[in-house]
Amino acid sequence: MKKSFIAQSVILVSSLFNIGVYAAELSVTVTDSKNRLLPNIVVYAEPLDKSSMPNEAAPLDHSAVMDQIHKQFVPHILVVQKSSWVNFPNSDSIKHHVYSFSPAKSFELRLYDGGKAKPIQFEKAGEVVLGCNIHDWMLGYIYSVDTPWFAKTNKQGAVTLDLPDGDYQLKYWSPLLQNADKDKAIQLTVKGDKQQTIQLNDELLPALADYENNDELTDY
Amino acid sequence: MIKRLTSFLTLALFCNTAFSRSIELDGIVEVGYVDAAYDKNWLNSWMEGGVGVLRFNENDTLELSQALIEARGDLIDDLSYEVVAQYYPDGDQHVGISQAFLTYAPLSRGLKHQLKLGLFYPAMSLENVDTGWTSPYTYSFSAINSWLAEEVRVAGLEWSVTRSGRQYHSPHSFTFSAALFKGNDPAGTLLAWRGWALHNRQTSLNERVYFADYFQFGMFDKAFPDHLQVTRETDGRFGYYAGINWRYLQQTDVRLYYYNNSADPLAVESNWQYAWQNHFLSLAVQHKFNRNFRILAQWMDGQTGMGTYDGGVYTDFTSWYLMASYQWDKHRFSARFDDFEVVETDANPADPNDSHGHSITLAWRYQYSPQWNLGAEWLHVNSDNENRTLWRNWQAAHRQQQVMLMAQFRF
Repeated sequence: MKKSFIAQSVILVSSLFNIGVYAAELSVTVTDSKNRLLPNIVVYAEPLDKSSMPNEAAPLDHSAVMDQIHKQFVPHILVVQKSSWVNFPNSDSIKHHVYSFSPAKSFELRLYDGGKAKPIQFEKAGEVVLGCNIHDWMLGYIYSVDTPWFAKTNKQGAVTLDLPDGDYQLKYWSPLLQNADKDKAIQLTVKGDKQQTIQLNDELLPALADYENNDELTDY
Repeated sequence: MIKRLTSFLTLALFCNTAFSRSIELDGIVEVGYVDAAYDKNWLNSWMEGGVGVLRFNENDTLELSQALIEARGDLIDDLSYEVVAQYYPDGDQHVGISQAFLTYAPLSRGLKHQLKLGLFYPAMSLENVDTGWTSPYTYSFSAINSWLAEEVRVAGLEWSVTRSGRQYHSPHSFTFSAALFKGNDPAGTLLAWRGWALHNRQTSLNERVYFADYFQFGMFDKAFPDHLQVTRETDGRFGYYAGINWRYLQQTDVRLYYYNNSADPLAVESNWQYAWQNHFLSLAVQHKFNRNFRILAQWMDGQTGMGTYDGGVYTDFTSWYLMASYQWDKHRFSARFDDFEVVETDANPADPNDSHGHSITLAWRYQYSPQWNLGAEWLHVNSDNENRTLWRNWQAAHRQQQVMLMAQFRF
């Protein structure tokens, strides 16, 4: 308890000192190969010099949430910093059986109506695919990144990262990326505000969002 | 064996409640006012010896239509149970169990396998998807699903494997199911004598379903029992069914099933209860045009029979329905047309079995609150059953009309 108080104080103090360093606003727009603006793309900036990063996501921060609402994962994609803890509440009045076989984090969790599950820590960076063993159309993603500077693009395909000046690798991820766009990075030097466009080499895979149009009138 | 399984499940249920590991309870109590208009008083319910095709009688008014409770929970990891207990004020047995089964659904990568053991319905219906195998659309089920409710229940083991499209970035999902079962030897008895009917009366485990005494006019009184037990095992043989289910996103759902109880039609018990050789194909389709509007349809075609061709009963049976359902805010409007037919194929002139008919069902249901659901249903059915003429001065063809104002309390 005492230790955590000290840790919190250190974070607080260091963030006070950091205020002057967050000089830059990096605005990124993501389009596909046909210049269409792409929402819901994870964009993150990894500093080349990792020592310039503030502390890793505080293990005390349990604020990340992957909920179950109307037999769907909400949000569909959750981005967290590596080592974060994620809560799995269940807003449905039925049982869910959430699982992942992904190398970055493999687990299973039985979520009962009104029950409380312990949060899960995502120690490794990478993609975690979530399913439900009862409702086989449910699909969700937790994407864990090794940087505190990340966000998802809005409906206009845009995202803004507040980060200190420095050299970065700008990366992006979506479960719908085709092979030509996987594991790509853009080298970037940030000095003051900056605009950047990411254009994919290909289109996205179809989202099959109609899987979300489920209703109560089904027996499975 | 079935009894033992049921008591085990009941015990498991109570243990489970005691330790409150996980239990999900859903219940429905359905009450309402029924106004049945039949042109002859012999058209009352088969359960009361009538030859009509609707459940309620002409003098019925305020009725408790049904009360049922569905309990689900986990026993251990990957193994869960489900039990449905029900109460009906009519029929031979008022309280009973309609389904009781264990499900083993281990977590697996890719293809998903599942085992189901116990007493259950083959999942061939798209109409009866609500709690306790009820319909969220109309109060009276289609002719096909009314028949499944009263005469088709298997005590067996089902294996199914599912390829979930979403995991493969595909809009198509598939499930294949196959089952072996015991019991269900009398399947088709009601179709051959009473004919198709429209109701919501689900038969309970070990319950007897009585029907009119069509045998009083034959050479031998009590030639056959005037009732059946849906889970009865007469010949000791296993039956089987297999089905495929194709789903396109959450929009289209198609289920094709073949059922065969493999009964020996010459096997007979001391009370002249025969095993009925029954096999049929069922094709069910649902398509959602948008969030509000959908259509459902089902077609069934099969044969049932027992005894010899000269002295027994053999029939072909066919039915289909088409239903449109529209949801507007908290209101759901459904309209269904049913067509049904039984054709006699045996050479026994003393026992006519031909029947055919059609019906129109219009229903409105209003979700007043999460607990209260109100609604009304108008049902009009024409049925022409040849064996009604066994009675002197009775006619084969009749119209029946039924209006229901219903309230459902759900918990």
